[in-house]
Amino acid sequence: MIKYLILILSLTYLNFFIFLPIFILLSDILASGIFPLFRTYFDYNLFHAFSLTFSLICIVVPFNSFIGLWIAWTLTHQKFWGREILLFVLDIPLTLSPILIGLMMTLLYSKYSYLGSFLFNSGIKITYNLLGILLTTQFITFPLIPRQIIPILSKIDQQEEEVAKTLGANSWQIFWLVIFPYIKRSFLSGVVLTNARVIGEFGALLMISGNIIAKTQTLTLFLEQSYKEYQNYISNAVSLLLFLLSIFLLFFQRYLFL
Amino acid sequence: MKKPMQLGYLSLNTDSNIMMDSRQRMGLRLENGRLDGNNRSKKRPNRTRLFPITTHPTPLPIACGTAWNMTLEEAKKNRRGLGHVLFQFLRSIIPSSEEDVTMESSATETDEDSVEWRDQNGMTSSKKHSSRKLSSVPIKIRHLHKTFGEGSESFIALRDINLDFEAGALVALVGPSGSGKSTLLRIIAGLETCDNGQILFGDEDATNIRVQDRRIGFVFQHYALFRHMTVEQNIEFGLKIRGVDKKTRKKKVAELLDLMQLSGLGHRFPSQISGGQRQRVALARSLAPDPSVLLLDEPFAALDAKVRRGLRAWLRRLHEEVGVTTIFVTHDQLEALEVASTLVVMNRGRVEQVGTPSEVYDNPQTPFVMSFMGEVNVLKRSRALGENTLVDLENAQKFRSQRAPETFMLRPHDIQIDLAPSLYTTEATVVSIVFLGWQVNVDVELSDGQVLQAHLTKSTFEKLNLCRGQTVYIRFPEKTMYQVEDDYSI
Repeated sequence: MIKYLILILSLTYLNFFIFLPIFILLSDILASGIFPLFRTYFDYNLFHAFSLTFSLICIVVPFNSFIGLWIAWTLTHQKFWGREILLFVLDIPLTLSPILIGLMMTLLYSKYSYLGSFLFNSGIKITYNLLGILLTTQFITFPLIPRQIIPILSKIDQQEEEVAKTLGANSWQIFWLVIFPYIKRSFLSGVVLTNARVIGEFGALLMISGNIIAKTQTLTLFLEQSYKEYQNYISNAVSLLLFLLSIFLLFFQRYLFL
Repeated sequence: MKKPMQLGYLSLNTDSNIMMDSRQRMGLRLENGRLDGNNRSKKRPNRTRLFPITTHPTPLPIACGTAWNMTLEEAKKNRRGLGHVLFQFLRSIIPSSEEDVTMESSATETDEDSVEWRDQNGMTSSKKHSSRKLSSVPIKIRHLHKTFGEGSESFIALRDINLDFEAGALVALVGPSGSGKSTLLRIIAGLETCDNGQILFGDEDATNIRVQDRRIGFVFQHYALFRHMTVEQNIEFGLKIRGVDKKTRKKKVAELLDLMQLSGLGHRFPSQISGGQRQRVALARSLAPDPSVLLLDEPFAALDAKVRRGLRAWLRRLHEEVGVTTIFVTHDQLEALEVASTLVVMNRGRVEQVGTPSEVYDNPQTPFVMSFMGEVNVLKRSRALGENTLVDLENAQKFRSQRAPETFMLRPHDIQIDLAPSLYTTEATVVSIVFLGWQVNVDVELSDGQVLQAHLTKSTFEKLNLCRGQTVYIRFPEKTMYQVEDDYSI
């Protein structure tokens, strides 16, 4: 009896807190019909926002994958002073509120700060520009991959690497042939998390990008604006796009790699 | 050309190069492996090592911090220079090619059946796979010293080790834990560096050769198999790394599977086979690239007693068949006696004795070897001993100690028990009898309270028909007593 009670409770919870919002969103979107939605996808501003988000993914994810592997490897394979501190620092971007990060970046790179004015005078504009968006996204997402890999990397038997060494493998070969197969899955899930974070980032980008339409507006920023301007068709269209992207990523992670 | 100015490891040429403005510097051209600042060219210099085969020495960028006009060959030799560091880094991440390898011997394939080892002198020794005999090298260790840690926490793992192993020897490094035997093995393998001393493989000084180039096989206690690879892929790994072609690889793997009695298990994963099989896979993997030295770190310690016994005999046969110089570490003196042809007994970072099993067991050089290689009784000189026995004690074999003999060691199986007193006996009382099947352990107490253990064979015990509390007369045969220092304790 209690078993069923627990089951019913958990199902109710799931329904109310997870499925219901999704259902409401989708029903709202689809109530206006699908074809009008498609028409809105040709909106220039939307297209620009989408392509900006997409290019952010294309730049940030490969870069983070590389840096993430590098950081994880260094932190697990080299003993140096401050290793613990670095592991702690790695968590900071994840724990800080995104809008705070945005503020930090704006303060750092705006043309009224020391660094920002220097860069501005050298012709590098960071705030309210694509570069700023890139740097901020980078800052927020870089711990995701190391966080996923480090627990597994530190568990791998040191002896396997030593055996590979005695068999003549250099560090490069050891990494790709011996180590990488172990961390492959968690690495890919880290990649998917990074993807999701890049797509979904809002607060920090709001601060750093200045939300300039068709210039520094990402998909989430676009959604917020169109909703506030009562452009329901467009906001619905963007919602659907974001929803499908996220669901696609989820499936990608679940069925392709895990 | 003028002599370069030395600034630490960074030396600058005082030629016109240094006067160049930054724009000119971008257009540096590399010619015959030297940097030349005067010419400009739109072509990007070919300075990468990413593609292994290049015929001319490839120059390094200026930023390497050696001389401005230094070729790669020169930069490599300058150990203090950044160029050397960069070269080492590049060599570690990029698959090795023929020409940038200085000390490495690499396998090149000539025909289907044989793999050729080419060493630095260009000498080749062709080995047919089917003969299975590997070329093995003698190993010499000279004044090896190793300390772990620094300052007050430092721990001396090895002190002045000098050893000679002939080619094809089967050596056991035996000692209690913490005696430095594993450290020694790891230093021979190159997995650990030594503070002082030399390791010679044949005539070649291997001290500074990196692990990858030492041509060794290493087997760990816990196998360290690659869990994501099948048995076949595990064995194949070393061959793949050395660039042996697929056909030869398959052949070699099949042969090794056969040799290791693992046929039919090739497609299983390490998690799907038993411990003994795993250890054999690990052995096959280490033997696949034809090592000249095989190193085993407590190879059987993780296996259960029966499998271990089987594998010991099997290892000895394998060694006879393959003939490679084999060094294995064990803390089990029985295993060492059973398998090895040469024993190296170690204690506290020192070599206590080197010799064949019978030498080590019958003529121990130090009290430690005596007590480590088997059970011993410690006997103190006292009035309880028979008169003639006391005289005998004067003739006891001595270790290095020159002091007057007071304490002695003797093996339990050397004590003889009689029922009647005679000229050389000492009176004692039986305290306990433990029946072990093939032997009987009898504890006897002398009149001054010293308890000695005697190991009797089953037939002897039955003949004597001892019982507890019985008075017996014990004898110590000649040359079984060893005098030790008084404060010695086991």
